Amino acid sequence: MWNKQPIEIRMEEALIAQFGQEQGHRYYVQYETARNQLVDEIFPQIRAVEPSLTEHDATHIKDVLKNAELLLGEDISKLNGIDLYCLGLVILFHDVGNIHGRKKHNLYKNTVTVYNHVRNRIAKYNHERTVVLRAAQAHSGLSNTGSTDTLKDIDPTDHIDGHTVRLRDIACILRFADELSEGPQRTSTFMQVNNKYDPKSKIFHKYADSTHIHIDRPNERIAITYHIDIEKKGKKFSAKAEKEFIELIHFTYHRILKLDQERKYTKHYSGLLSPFKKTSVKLNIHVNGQLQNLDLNEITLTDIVVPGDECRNIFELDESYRVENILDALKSIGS
Amino acid sequence: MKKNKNPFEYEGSNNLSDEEILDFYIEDFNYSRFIQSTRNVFLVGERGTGKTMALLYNSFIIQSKLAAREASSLSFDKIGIHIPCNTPLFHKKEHLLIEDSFRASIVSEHYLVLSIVSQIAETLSAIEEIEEAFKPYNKKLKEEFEYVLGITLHKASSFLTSITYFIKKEVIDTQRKINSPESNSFYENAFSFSSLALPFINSLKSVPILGKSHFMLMIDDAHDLNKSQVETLNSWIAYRDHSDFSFKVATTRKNHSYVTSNGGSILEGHDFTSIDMGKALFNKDSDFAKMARRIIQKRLDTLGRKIKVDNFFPINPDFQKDLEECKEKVRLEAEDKFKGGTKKQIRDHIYKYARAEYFRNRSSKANRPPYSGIDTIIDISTGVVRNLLDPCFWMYDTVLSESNNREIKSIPYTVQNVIIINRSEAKWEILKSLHKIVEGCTEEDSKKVFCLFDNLMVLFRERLLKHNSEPRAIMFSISQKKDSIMERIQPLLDIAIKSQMLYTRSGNSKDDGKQETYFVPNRMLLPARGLDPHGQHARVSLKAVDILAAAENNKSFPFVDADNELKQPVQTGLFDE
Repeated sequence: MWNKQPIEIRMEEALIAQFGQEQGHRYYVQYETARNQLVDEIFPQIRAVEPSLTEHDATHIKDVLKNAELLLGEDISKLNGIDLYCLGLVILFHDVGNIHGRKKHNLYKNTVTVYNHVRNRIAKYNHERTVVLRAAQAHSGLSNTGSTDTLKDIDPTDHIDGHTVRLRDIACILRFADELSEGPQRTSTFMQVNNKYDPKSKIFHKYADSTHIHIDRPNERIAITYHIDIEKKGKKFSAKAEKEFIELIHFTYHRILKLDQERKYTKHYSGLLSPFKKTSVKLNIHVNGQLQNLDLNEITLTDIVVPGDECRNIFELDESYRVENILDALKSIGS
Repeated sequence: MKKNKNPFEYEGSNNLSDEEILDFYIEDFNYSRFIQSTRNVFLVGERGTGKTMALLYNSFIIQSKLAAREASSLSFDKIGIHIPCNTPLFHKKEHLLIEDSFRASIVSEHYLVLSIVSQIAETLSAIEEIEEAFKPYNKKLKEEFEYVLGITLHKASSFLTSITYFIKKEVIDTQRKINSPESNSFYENAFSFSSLALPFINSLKSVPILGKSHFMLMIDDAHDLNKSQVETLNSWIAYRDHSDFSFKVATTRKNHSYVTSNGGSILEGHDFTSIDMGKALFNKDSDFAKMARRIIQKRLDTLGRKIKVDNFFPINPDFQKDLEECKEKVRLEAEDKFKGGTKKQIRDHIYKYARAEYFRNRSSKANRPPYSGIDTIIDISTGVVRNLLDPCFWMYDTVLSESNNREIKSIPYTVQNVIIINRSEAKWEILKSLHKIVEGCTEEDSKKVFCLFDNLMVLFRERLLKHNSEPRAIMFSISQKKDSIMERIQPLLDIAIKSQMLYTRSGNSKDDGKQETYFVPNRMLLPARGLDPHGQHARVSLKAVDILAAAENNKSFPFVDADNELKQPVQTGLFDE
């Protein structure tokens, strides 16, 4: 059962403020109808098609909606009713292509079938369909020219029913909100422990399990906190535990840099995201569930670009983050 | 330590001498490694849980004395600066004279920064090695600092001493300006962390001896900071690069806010690590029980004699014999009940019922049990260090007054029992008049809290004598929390917590495994009512409406034994919510 999200309440209020009670409410019902149908019919089926994916169900949509609201903060008032309506639809439809399989799930050809089903191919939605799915498509994958700069192809504005929508801002918010919706809620510890996920997907689930993201607009940052556990039996780490730990750490570093790239990238195209000036990262390593003191400094990735600097990895910012150094420090504790 | 000086002094750690801190401190490896680190740390716990002791022990002055005692070289890698907030400087109210809240916050930060810098300067100047190392740099440091800040430092003193004089002068100047008859006076030269503390730390680190030092700024009793200072402190924790310094903040459980000056917040696990000083105490193998024994043993060691804790606080032999007999009886019952069962089933059965059997077998006309032994003393501490030392102090004091200066080799179990009962009864007396000691508590509230606890003890007693599953549960959680009822209960619980009649802990909820808060009455209350302070790893679920009835109408808690709980699962009525 779906509980109305705060951003949806704002949407309804903004629609009524923009269009009056009757029409504003009508727009909201259009949104709500689409949402309920997706929640009932489509989202639950994605798991059946891609059982090893991290969660792409209604919970994920709620997360993205919540993240969008947090990203906007007080600037949500800069979006009017039709903007929020469009944003809501873009968030609802951005991952529906997974019903046809993960590969190229974002593409128009994969999302349009679901959209047409939900809207019953009613003609009045034709332009809305184009606008919404184009913005949704930009949340991942490649652009028309084959580059990863998908936001470039999104016009700054478009319209729905003749009302201007800030389409590029909306696409940026979706993209970043989606990137930030990572965390334990997207995976199942039971499935992990009992090896029910495809081995190729295991790392994604482990990463989700250890990640906690906080959208901290007042402090101008995205704060990522990791809690990574490594098991120790007796006095040593097993070879398997070490191997999995190293793999997870490297994957984590890769994802940190990716998230920060997304922050800078979406900020470049949308002034609404300009308050997010840095990504701050804290790594907490636990051994058998007990937090270890490794004196690792917080890593902060900012917008500053120093000529000549080309950081490809986290440990280039701080040597103590080399996995070998972390493992050595863990082994020396209690020895 | 003198021959018969009471080794169980339990006054605030601030009243202990440096030598006593070194003598008494017991390292808790669960958190001590985080204090001596570059992390920001919040030590959260009620009064008496050892926060100040932990900070003082890790302060540089104490560490330097430890190095001297152990004849080892003093490390300058981590320098702990103890910054107490419970001082006149922090209690200054000049900011309240300023109408503009932004300007008031500037003045608040100004005083906070002055305290920090003052303590850094005083701590370092107290170390001879540092003053010596600064000598070649004093003139240069003073000139640079004067230039950067546009101030004049005392000519005749070293850099560090001149800073302490400067701070004292600043406090006076600020006070004079703000208290002047001009309306809305403001101190234009107010310092911030960036304008005073950071340049000062940079100056210190320019001297080779401190070139690689990390300063641990240990803010003690942070609950005494005003709202603006708390937000400022949180902002420093959120914003600052912590390679040169970090914050260790000691505060009571509920009072500290994590909001920053600009409305954001600092995050546990990200910006800081939180250490809960309140320790769960379930059995003699728990972390606290082990630490408690070490604390008492260390205190005894200061007497200069080799006395074991168990020998110093012997248990009443009849009490022990009776407990053993009950344990044996229950063991036989368990073996009969669980024929073919596992050893764990038998062990669990003994754990649950052996002590309850002792209390159930006592005649209704018998006196209260002869409470004694170190395990009982640890039990009644409720996991709080100060509560552990309190009865020990009074026991030792009693024996000392009768000893004619002879060496005290043990505390007779009769004395232990008398003191425990006396301290327990004294607790109940305090409970009757909380309005006299707790700010904001009315006489009416005091009566309600008393009734609540009175009825709790009645319930615990009934369970001890009759409950089939968890007879020794002496903690509770709250269920069916309607907002309208919780609004009336919560202030009473807060009063009980402030007066340390009640403690809160976190644990997994039985129903859904989520973290829930549960409540632990001060176990010192139990002996006066003839109850078992030992307790078990279980908690009673009390409905909010029953708690309210107990407090406001002196109504007994409904008692349902385990069999009835199983046969009749709780069903809400038609008109219940």
